[in-house]
Amino acid sequence: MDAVKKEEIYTIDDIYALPDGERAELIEGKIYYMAPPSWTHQRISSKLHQVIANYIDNNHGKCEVLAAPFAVFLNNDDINYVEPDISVICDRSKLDEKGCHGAPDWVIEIVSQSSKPRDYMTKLFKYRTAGVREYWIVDPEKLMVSVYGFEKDVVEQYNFGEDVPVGIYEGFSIRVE
Amino acid sequence: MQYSIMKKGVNGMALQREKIYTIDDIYALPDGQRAELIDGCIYNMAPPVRIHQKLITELVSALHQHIRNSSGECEVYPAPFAVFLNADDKNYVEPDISVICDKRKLTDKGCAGAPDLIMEVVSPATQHMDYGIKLFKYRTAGVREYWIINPATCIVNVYDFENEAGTSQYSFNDEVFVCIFNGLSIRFSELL
Repeated sequence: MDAVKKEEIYTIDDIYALPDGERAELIEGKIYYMAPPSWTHQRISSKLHQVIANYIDNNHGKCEVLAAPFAVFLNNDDINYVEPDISVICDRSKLDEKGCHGAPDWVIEIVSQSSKPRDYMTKLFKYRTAGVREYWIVDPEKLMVSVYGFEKDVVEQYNFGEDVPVGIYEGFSIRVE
Repeated sequence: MQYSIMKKGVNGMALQREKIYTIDDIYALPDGQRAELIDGCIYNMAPPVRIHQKLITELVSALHQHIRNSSGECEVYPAPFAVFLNADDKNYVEPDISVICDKRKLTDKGCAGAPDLIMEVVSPATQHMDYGIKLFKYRTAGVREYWIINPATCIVNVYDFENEAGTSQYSFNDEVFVCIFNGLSIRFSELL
């Protein structure tokens, strides 16, 4: 008899078998069901997407910015599947019709009450080890943006209303409000 | 605390390598000089500012009272207190606050292995260290819970490495619960 009760390990098949309209993420086989996003969440998300897309267009950049729901197979295995709020991917060979295979270059998560532990900790470690170059955590309740530049080992916190420099794009900053 | 990184390059090599320091180098420091060691890289520490010490005094007192009132097994130590994080000779830290619940880890010198709870009070110069290097280092060493307290932004980050669920970011006005204890919470605005 097992002394320790083991949690069930889920796979990407379980994600694709979810009922219509239900979304979940998978980190090391642990499943996280996602609540529908709030109005504020969606406003910030679409604004960020717009600002980043404009920047890439204006600079004839090769990276692509995608908003959730967009599948990221973070470690190219069957026990890790995330849907970052914003993904910026510069290596187009990672992209296919299903989503992104491997780590995006830049990920932004907009936290909600239920996603805080995952966004502030679990994903921070996962994104870092998977090779994400930059990770932003936007907290609409605390009006703060936490920036992790994994390439240069930079960690900064900004208030809403401040210009937040984008590490992967020199000379580009975003004001989150 | 404030840090500067001491780097020694080796001339004449194609790849410049940093010198690997050991705990012997820490104990050989001149009197009054303090430093930490992470994976053989040495970080000098500057004397702390007043608010830093005020926060540590209040927190240690709250933790101590809670442990005493609940007849707990854990012990709380403020810096300078030696933590041999990985029980090897390349890692030596002096967390601002260490709570250790396994008394077998306690020696005359300090703590051999990971404390259960660590709190660091950030200064602009240690931001990089507390939010980056130490966050990852503490987690892999087996620390159960880590708090990063920033008096400049009035923000507290709680990392519940053990259970995840207690992880969050708080302001000084929030009630912040200690995950490894039952029934202990801190409101930073009331401490200052």
